[in-house]
Amino acid sequence: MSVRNSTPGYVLAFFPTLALGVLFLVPFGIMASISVAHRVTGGFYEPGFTLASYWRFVSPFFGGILLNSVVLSALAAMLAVMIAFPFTYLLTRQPRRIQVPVLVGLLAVLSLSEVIVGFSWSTLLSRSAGISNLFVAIGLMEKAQSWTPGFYAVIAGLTYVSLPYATMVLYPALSRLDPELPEAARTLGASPLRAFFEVIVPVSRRAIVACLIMAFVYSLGSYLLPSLLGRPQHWTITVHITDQAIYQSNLPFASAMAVFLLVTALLLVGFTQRFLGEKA
Amino acid sequence: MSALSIQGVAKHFGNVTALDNVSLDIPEGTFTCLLGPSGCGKTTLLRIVAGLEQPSAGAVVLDGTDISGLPAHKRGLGMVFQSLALFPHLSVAENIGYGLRLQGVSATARREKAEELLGLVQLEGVADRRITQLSGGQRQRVAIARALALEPKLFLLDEPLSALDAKLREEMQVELRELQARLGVTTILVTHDQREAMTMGDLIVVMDHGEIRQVGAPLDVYRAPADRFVADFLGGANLMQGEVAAGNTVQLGEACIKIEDAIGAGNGEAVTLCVRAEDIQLTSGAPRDGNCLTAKVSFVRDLGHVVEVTANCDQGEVKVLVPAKEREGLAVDGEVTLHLPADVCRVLEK
Repeated sequence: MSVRNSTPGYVLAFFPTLALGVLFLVPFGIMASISVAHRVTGGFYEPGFTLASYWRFVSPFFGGILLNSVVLSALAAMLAVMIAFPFTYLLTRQPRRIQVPVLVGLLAVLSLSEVIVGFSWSTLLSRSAGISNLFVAIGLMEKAQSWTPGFYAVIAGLTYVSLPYATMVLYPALSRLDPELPEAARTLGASPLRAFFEVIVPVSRRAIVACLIMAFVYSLGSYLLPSLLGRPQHWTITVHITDQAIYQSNLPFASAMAVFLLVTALLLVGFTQRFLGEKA
Repeated sequence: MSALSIQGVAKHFGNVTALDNVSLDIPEGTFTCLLGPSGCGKTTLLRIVAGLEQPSAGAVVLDGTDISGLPAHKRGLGMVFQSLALFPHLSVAENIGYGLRLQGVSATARREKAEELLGLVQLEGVADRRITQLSGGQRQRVAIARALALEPKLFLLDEPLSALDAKLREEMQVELRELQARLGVTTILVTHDQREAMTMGDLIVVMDHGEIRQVGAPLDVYRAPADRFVADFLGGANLMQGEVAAGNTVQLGEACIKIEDAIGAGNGEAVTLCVRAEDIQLTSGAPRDGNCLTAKVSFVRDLGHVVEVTANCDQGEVKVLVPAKEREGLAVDGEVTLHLPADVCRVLEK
């Protein structure tokens, strides 16, 4: 018989449970309870139980907002991963003395506030001072154009802020990738490009999906960029939550949207995890 | 089935010289083992042959054609990697058929070929398994089958058995050697294990510090090492410093050892006497030829079938392997007389 003197499991589980409860469950509970409260028009809200705020989801207007949020975030996430994946792969094949400064540079980009990123993009895409002037100067365009606010301006901004995160998520997986895998493909007759798409990409699919989810959820939660770079029809659900909560003083509806956003994000993450778990 | 010629190949990584003007001819159908300690350049040489590394100088000539400029995917060589590098996202059959698929071979023909190769490496019935469902030894066989699927002109192996446990490794060595003999494919294996090289190779190429130290048949290299490094690396010989004396002998301190082979070096020159542990005998009286040293036993190691005796004499530590039946009377600190028969002593000038 062995003597057990290790810490019991419930003691170890105590701190995570406490942290999760205080930092997540309690605020979520408050938000959920507000989402079912009665709205007082022109005032605040009073406690109660009504699903009126949730019923507002069942409208073409809200459907449009949701679709717009998902499409924007999905496009930005895909673009970010499409750029980050080859970039990170090539980075991990470089000697350490090149990798480290590039990673430090990426971390530095993370320290930029979204406000700075948003205003930079809006300047870059503007007519008066933007990049289209450069295209005019080298003869690619007839006259300068304004690309902001607009759908693609939002996409550009969201992709930009997602890129460093995408690289950070992909980096560990890609730097652990066996360098002999693409070499094996090459000795079997695959060109370097073919080895990349037929071996490196499928072998890294878990990291790619994890990265897609991360970039998607991150974009879905972005508030500043859609409001800075988009027109009201490009506003994502996050912008509408702020709009309802702060400008329309409709906290129950804002809370209901927040609950809905959270549940949607959780479902998406759970679904992809499940799908991945079966595949591998 | 092809002959390979490596001509003056050098490889530098920055200031580091991995290979220094290496030339080697490998006859068609032979099994060649590149043997050496880690960092000796053996893997770099194999990678240059495979086209995964570009030589800084020199040429790789296969069947009379210079293939130095050809990229890896156009060389048509089969390679087994140290990590095996099996594709985890493909099944066993898909792994083996990968190269065939790139050549546009139909799915049914690929399947047939995969089954045939699995039979060849004695691994039937796993074609549809995932790589992660296989044991280390099974993965080994799949990697070999995959490398042979395209009927390569050269079969290259980079320490493929290093991940296996000792018993399985020895079995695979024999099996791999038999497979190669049956197929007759020109094969190059990289290893740091001298037993592995001796078991499998027709030809052993001993390398150190980016240079080839000796090339030859396993027993020739073992019996007649070219220098101290080869003698020590291949089976760990006893090396003793001495100088050449009159009458084809080597003076080792007080003792004078007669040598059967003619000594190349002149009288008075410093040389190294090389004697294998199993060639030394323990005697009680003085042997007739007088080739003996007195030593003091410092350690006795029972290995079962033989006894390894470590003894100290004026020339340093000497290891002797004696049959188990001569174990009687051997004790630490006991005096022994070592007999070095004239026909087993080699004189190394370097």
